[in-house]
Amino acid sequence: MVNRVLLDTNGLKVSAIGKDVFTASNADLLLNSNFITPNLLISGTYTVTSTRITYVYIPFGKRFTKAPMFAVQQYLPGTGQIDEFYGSYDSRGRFVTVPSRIKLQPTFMELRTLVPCTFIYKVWDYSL
Amino acid sequence: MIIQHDADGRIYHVVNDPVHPLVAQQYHGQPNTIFLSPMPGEVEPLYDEKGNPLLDQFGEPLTQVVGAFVPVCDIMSDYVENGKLKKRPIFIHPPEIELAVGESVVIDVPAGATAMVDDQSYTIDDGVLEIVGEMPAEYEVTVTKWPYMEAKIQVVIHEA
Repeated sequence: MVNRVLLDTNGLKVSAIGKDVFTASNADLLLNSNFITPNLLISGTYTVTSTRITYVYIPFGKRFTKAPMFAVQQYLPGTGQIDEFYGSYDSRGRFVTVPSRIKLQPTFMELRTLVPCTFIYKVWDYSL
Repeated sequence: MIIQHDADGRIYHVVNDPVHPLVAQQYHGQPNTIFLSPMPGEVEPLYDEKGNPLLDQFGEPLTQVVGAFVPVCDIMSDYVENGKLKKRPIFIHPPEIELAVGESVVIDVPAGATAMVDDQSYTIDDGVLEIVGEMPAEYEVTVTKWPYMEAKIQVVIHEA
């Protein structure tokens, strides 16, 4: 039987079944007290009802020093989900977090006459 | 829950519960914004194993709060009127109408509603939508009148 629990001056670690906690990689740990667990800061739904709106900002109520993690899904009527993004930033500039707010930008520029377009978003904060 | 709506009560943004105080702070005082909080559920009396009401030291019945009322909002089927969240009303209509050429049918709709047929819109001031079978055809009539839910009526007109 392998050792699965380690408590020392570096913290607490618990490894997965069959993995030795002394040699386990981070992927094989069920718990590491040094990991940072993000907490949900805000979640909601925003519907863009006008074709004139090119983007909207959702304020967080705080400024981030470390980029939060966010998830956005975008839906169109009759089409269903057309886009989604999970992560800390979107290199394509569609859904972007800035220090105090998230920018939701419809990604269907060629389909802009289709409204309402609905975003479902969640933002997790590492410092909550 | 935080709900933002336009001047007509159309909801465009919902912040789900639990709302973090930092987030709530951002929305306090904003126009056309309402806050709905979860409320405690029903208060029910407590009983012992024989079914007798449990009493406290003053002889008052002991109670417990069961569950909670958590506000739920659907952007498409709800709206805000006078600061209250309400379901958008539905007007009763047949989903499909079949007529012969020369026949007609009358449907009651909300006064001031708009009927759309083949990208043409018609205002129905008197609340009476009359569909007349002029020639064989199949089309869809979309009736809108805020805050009523949009209604779609399939019309089939065949030879007399």
